[in-house]
Amino acid sequence: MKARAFPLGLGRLAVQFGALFALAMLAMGLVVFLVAQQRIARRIDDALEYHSSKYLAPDHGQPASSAVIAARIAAWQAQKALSERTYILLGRDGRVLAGRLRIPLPPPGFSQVRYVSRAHVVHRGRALATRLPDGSLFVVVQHSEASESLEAILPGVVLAIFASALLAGLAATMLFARQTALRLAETQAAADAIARGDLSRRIATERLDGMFAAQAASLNRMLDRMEDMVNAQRQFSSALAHDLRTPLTRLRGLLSSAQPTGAAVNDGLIERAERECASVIAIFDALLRLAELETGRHPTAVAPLDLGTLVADVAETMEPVLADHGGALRLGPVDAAVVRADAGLVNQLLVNLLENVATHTPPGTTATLRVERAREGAVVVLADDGPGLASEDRSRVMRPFERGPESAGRRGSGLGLSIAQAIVRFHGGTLALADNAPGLEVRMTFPA
Amino acid sequence: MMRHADRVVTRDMLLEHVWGYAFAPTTNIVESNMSRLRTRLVELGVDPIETQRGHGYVLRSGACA
Repeated sequence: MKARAFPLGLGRLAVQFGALFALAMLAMGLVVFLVAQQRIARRIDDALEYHSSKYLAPDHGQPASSAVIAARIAAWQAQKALSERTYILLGRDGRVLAGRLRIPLPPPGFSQVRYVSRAHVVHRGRALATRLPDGSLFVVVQHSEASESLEAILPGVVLAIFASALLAGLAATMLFARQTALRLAETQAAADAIARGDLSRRIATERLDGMFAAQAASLNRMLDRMEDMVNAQRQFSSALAHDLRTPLTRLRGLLSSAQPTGAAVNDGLIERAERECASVIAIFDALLRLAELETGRHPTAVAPLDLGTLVADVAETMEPVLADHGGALRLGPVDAAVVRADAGLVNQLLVNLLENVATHTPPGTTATLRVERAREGAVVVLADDGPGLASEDRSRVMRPFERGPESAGRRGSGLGLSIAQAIVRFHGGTLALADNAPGLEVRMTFPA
Repeated sequence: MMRHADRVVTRDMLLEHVWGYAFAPTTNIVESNMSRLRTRLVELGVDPIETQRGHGYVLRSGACA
């Protein structure tokens, strides 16, 4: 699969995400910088306090006087130690009593000061000034070198962070967009192939991961279902054409042989022609009803319905029919079970199924109708002790125009069980065929 | 049929008004039930229902005892 150019929207998205990422990184850098600066300042203050207290320490039990401190400063200077700190003692009038640094008189406590080093460079520093009892001022000054250098590199650091974050953000979003586009390409390719008519095409999932794999799997499941439905529709149409062609061909044959002969002979022909017409019409009626039910557009009268009463009524009506066909119908245990259903449709459902028993089982077959209450709702069970159906035929006969193995020569639209199933599904229930050993059991479950 | 005495009642009329079925059954529901009814009536000694082939049934008021 060739990678496509990114759609325009995704490119703009990459820039936006890159800029956002860069800004976030910049803000984070500033926070880090401020925190570092704060910590450095705190450490300088701690050092100032520590060294100040060392010089102000009591001398032989007495608080250190100006003279003692001046002597301590002189001693420190004598060491010529290289230090980032320096000490001065200023008199009440601002005169320098000890120390070398020249600075304006700082206020007592911590303050920022500027001073000129011996190399004539202006430095910034932090000062801690302590007023002595005699009015003179003891000042410790620390050159804030770390803070100064930190500020010096700030613009460069900011620029570097911003630039690298922008680049990283752009690269990350471009990569993300590219990976997304690559994965979507699989879906796109499959969709295009299906649009061109290849219904068996599926999205290749082996190179997909995470949510893309989950989405592709769910789309593939949808495509499986749709392919099934399209195939069923195709099969249905060709079966319909075939089934209508047979009675129509016979009808044409009958009518062409009717012309030359007399009226007396035509009487029987017309009766047979009428029968063929009736079977064509029956197929269309059944198809229309099936279509109505499956699209849910049946003008319905759904109301609370006692299945027990209805089943008993149908059994009473159909018992003579089964008896005429040499069989028998018994009414088994019938529990009262009220469900929401369309009485007309449920009547048709049960009559259709009992007619199936009457026409498709040999004489001597006994059918039993019963109503049970189950956890999932009310179940109407029609069981017979006839020859039954092999398990592969049980799933086949539910499809439109499919018939049982023994019914090739018999009349019937081949839609009876499809309509029965459509009626049960219309009520939100299920219709299942099972082995009654011997015979067939039809279980219709209606939700309570 | 009593309300329609001496008039022809068709198979479809019976289906719709007696059973309330709006669909066309493929078996002889009406015929089977009608013959059961006639058997019972003959057992009682009357046979007022007449079959009109291709049309329907007529209840003969004169034949009711």
